[in-house]
Amino acid sequence: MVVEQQLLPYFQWLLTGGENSLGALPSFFFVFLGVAMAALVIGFAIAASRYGILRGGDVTYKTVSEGLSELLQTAPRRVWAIARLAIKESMRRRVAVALGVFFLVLLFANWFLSTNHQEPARLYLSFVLTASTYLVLGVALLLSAFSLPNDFKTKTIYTVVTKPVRAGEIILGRIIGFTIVITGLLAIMGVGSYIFVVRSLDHSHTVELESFQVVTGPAGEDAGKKGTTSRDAGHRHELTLDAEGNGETTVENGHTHAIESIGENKYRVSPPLGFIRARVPQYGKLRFIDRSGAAKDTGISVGSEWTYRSFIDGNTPATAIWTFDNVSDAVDPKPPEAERSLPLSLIVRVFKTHKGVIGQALQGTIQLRNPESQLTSEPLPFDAQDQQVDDIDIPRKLLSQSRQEIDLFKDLVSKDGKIEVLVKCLDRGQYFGFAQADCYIRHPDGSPIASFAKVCVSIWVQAVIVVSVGVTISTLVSGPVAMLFVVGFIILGFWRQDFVDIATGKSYGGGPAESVVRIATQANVMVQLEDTLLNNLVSGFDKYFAKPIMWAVAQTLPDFRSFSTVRYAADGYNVPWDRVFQDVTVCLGYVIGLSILGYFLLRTREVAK
Amino acid sequence: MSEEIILQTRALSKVYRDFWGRQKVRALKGLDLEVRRGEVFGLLGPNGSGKTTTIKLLLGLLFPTEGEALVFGKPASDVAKNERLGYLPEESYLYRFLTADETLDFYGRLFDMPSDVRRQRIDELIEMVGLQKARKRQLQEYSKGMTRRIGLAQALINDPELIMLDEPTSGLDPIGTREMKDMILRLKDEGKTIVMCSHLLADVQDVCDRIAILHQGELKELGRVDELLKVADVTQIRAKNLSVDCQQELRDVISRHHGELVSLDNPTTTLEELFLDIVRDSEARPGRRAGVK
Amino acid sequence: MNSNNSFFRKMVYLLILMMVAVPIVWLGRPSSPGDQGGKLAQERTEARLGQADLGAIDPASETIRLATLGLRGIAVTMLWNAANNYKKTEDWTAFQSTLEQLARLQPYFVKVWQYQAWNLSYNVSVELDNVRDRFYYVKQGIEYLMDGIGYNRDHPRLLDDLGWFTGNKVGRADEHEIYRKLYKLDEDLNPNDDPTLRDNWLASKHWYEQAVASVDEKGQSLSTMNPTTFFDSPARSQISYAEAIEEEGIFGETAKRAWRDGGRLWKEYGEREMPSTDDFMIKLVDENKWKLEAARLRNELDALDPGIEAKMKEEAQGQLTADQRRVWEALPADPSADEQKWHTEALGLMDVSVPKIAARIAKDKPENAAKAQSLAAQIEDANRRANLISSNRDVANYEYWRIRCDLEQSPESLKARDFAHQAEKRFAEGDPEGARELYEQSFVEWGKALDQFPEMPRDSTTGGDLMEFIEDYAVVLEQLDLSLEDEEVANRFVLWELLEINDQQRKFAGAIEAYKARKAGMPVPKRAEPGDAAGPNSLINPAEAVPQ
Repeated sequence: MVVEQQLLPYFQWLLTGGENSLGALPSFFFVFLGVAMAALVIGFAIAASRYGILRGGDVTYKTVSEGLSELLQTAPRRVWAIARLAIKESMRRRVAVALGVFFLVLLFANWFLSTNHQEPARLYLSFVLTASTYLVLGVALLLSAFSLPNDFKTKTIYTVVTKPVRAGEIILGRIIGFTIVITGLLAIMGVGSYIFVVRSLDHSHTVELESFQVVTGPAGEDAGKKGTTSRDAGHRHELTLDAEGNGETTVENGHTHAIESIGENKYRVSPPLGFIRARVPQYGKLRFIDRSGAAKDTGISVGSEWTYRSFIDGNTPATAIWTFDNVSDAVDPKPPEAERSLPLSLIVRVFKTHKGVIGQALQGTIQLRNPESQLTSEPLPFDAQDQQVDDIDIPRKLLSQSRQEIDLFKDLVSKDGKIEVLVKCLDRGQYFGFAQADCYIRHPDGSPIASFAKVCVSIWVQAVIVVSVGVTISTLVSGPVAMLFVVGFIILGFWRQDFVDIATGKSYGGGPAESVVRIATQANVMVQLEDTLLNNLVSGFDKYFAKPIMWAVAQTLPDFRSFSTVRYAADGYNVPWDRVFQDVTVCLGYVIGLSILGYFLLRTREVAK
Repeated sequence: MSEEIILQTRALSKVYRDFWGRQKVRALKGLDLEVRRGEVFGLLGPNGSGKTTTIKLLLGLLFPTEGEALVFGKPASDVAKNERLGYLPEESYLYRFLTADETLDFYGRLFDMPSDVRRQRIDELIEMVGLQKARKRQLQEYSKGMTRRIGLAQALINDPELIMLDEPTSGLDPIGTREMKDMILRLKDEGKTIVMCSHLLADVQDVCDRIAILHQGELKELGRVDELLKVADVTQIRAKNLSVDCQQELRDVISRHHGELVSLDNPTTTLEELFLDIVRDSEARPGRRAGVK
Repeated sequence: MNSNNSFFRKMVYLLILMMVAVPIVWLGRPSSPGDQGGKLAQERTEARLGQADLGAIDPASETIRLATLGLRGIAVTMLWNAANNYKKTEDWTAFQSTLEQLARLQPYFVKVWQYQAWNLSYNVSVELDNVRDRFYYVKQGIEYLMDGIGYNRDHPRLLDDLGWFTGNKVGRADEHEIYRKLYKLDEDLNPNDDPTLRDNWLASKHWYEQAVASVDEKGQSLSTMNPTTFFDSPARSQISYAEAIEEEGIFGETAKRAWRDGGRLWKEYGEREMPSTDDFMIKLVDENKWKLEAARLRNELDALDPGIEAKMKEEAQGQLTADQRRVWEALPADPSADEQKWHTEALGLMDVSVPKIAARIAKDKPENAAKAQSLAAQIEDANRRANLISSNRDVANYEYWRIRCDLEQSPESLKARDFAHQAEKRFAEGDPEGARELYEQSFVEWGKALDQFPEMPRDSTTGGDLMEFIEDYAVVLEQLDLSLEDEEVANRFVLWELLEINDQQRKFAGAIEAYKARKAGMPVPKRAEPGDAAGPNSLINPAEAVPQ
């Protein structure tokens, strides 16, 4: 799986952050402070224009101080009453239609998806999960953006705000209510999706008896049979059976079947196995040694536009070295202690400068090294399987380079639990490419259903943020405007990085005003604009006005893309809890921040206007 | 009636502005009012006179441009005042997809009432407004009168000390109107303070202790209904079964005492008379009418 | 009660809607290779309906177009971007499924099918290392084209591309040995297991024939495709098939039949009337016909005033200035600007062309004027046709392939190839001596075969083919510590003439010199060992880097 951004442990993420980032809590604090200051200034400006400077100040002070005390008076029962109302309203507004649409989408999905792919599970999972995401976001958008404006329009809000209900409770209650609705929707969609994927991928084969060839063991005894299965769902497997007639098929289209003998020439083929997985990787830290033996942070580039992986040259000292922490023989505690191994998974990207022998894989070696004592194991050769996850179990009993017997967990793991994995390419003139996530210690697979549920949580998080934004903004503007605002918010959220790149001048073509000029004059982004007064004004506007505003807005935008954990499920990896907790925390941050903002917006609004 | 002031406005003004902040309408100009505990206070005025604006300002639905509105001695924008207040809006602005039970339950929860108290209160109110048979039906199936009654029930859910009624009888048939008026009087008997606004003079006359008459945002008349309607220099004679001769005799008597006979016919609703008088007067000579306290 | 009723009613509506959708799904499901699709797709296949017949009616494509709410342009742009991005980040599965969606959005945009099929078969396949994975994407490209043909029936360009992919991509890649095996085993590409389509070259021929038929029978336009290279494709695929099976060791009657079919198709191609760049149709076999016609007419023209041409030449020579004459007779090795000008002028004067002759005849004998002019025009026309045909024959290398098909059918060349193949096998089995003998027998047979076809140009592709055998033979000799320079070996070798013409890399220069010297009775010159020139600083030689 491609991991371009390393996932930080939860508390590090929350408090201190990574190398180039601030902790989530401090940055929330800063953004909160920034928004609060901006709101205060704007609020005062409006109050001053309405009541004069002195009284305006007084009004502002009162609003803020009352607001703070009212926030403390929030009563769960009132919040719950509003939440229940929101749920009933959603029901009335035919949220069920979304479910209908969803099942219709599933019904028609087979038109566009086929199981006849190398990774059908990936296609199916990403399709249903993406469809669920868009549907749920759409529902969240429609529910939240139109609810309050509708109350204003029908004036039902009059009877509500003349009760001792606080503005914050109206906001929070709605967010909670719609969240509950979305949770329900998502639960149904999630179960539906899972069943759909499993059912769609389900197929069985029969064993083709005429394809059987008897396999004989070294002593000429009957060691089983080889053959193929029937062709179903666009593929067939090869199979090997032991002498009792039980066995397994080869992996085709990302799955296998188990075969069980049930009497003379009768076999039972299991449903597909391994379609939906939840691998649990433990990532290490990657560094390189180049061809001259010098330590480097990255390998060499082979000229690929995508710089995710970097490469080592074959048959030179060039090495990719991963350092893993917390290594012990307890990674997979099932086998007896003496037979435990270090389960590694390795993804190799092969780059060839010549064809080599066609049909023959390149060779590489793996060595393990103790980072303290530098004791190194003898190289274990492997065949490079380009762009595939290769599961390699390194046995406990190994030989050192001086061919002495050593124990992996006792001799190669340092006292603080670290081990180094060294990978080399053996073929001269050929290259292996690696990224940090390409080698990991493989813990026993997690439950695919649990992982799938965690993906749903990440969709849920996105929807809750949309609901919060929708409810908050709808205190201020009418329904359609609120909807457009939230759509804009979602779009900017999905393209946040591009937005930030424009704001920070990383992307070509200048800011918004300059782009308008470029479009009008048909000057492409690489052309230097002429040094005229107008152009200078335009770029000055961008530089001193538009871009700072864009930057400020970007600080409050969530990065919707990074919330999406669909990739994890699609690629067959377990969604880590750190990821889930981070997402939920961010979501909580938005709910709290937006509820407070929404409180003041609603509180300072003339309800009856 | 005690002397405790429940509701007070001081130089209350409201200017409606458009989107750009330009002045559009001066809806209320320097209103001073006081309502004491236990009285039924009527706000009277033609459409657009500012009575609904006054109610909304008192409820905190609008913010005053100048002056202040105090309810229970607190600014109208203070949410805490709502604990002791009930409000029946002009039309029942209720959620049409809720049933009567659910509606009352919802508003009960907004008062943070514990569930047993809420249940009991809902039963009482449903019975009081006579909706026992319709309590499980959605409000969208209700008739106008039923909607009005459930609206009143929700206004009373918290057993409020102060009840604001905006056009309480609008859209009701004569029986409904009668029932509403009876209800108001009953509430008054229970010691509630009631502020109502209406343009239906008969209603106001029947139930209100004191009234304020507004026109074009200005207070025109304020006082006890009986006092306001007493016109000192006019004597009205009402009699039954008078013969033509007798009527002539009466005319003679009046002329003998240097009186002037104004009319001798069936009397009109006198409040209407007063009201129209004020409106006419106000339109002829804009500004505050003399004699208002 | 009431609300329950309405809820119940709505649920029933919903259920009915869903139930209506089920047959729609069943009817409308699109077909894909290996999957017949829904009822509509099957009907369409049976009736061979394409866009031209149906208009743009394809439920799947229409659904997705509706689903984009009229924003198809935007959706397409986004999908292209997404596809480019997936390609960049090497997410081949997502790339491929994006292409499928893209095609559903604009199924009648032929360029999309062409471009993206090429992307899959040529660009994605080479990104993978495992040969099976590579073949998978080659196949995906082919299937993508097949999908495209489903939407754009009888589109000659798509059919032509399909022929090219199944033929050249599968049969000519470096991995072609494995590709061809995988192609034969594949159950998607040949769903009905038609034995005539199991071989990729025969399948390629099949598709090319369909392309040709689409033009011939369905009246589709060739558009910008060159007819000369378009119509020769089926024959070429058949020839490639014959070559391929021989490479794989199938000789005898099967190979002979394959070549015979190739020859037949090639001749049919030559006799096909094809549009040309001029405003007339041409047949490649007609070159001689038109040449003869031109000569005949020329004689007729000359007969009108015998000796006129010689007379005109003499007169023209008399008109040359001294300078012109000097340069005309012998242009200096390094002519000055003036000299070049005189030369051009002289050539112009001395060019006694047919129109000039006709004009002269008209002047000298006015009674023959009309006849002469008409003859001149006919001669010009015949010459133009002959020239155009000749250049098109060159484009197709017509003559060579015609002879080649005949040559390959001869028992000698079949035998020669068989020997060479056996030799190769023998050598691989570790019997260089046997291999050497077989090679030598093969060369003898080759010599015989080539002697039968003296018109076969010696420096042609065949020469190149043979050079491969000779090189293999040289490797065998090296194993035996022998060389073509050795007299004994050289005496057994019969293809010296061919070797000399085709040894462009001068690998055998030493052997050739030695042979020539011996033939002329001179001492054999000594030569440095080849390969010594390569210093230690040279680039990695791929051949060396291959693990043995």
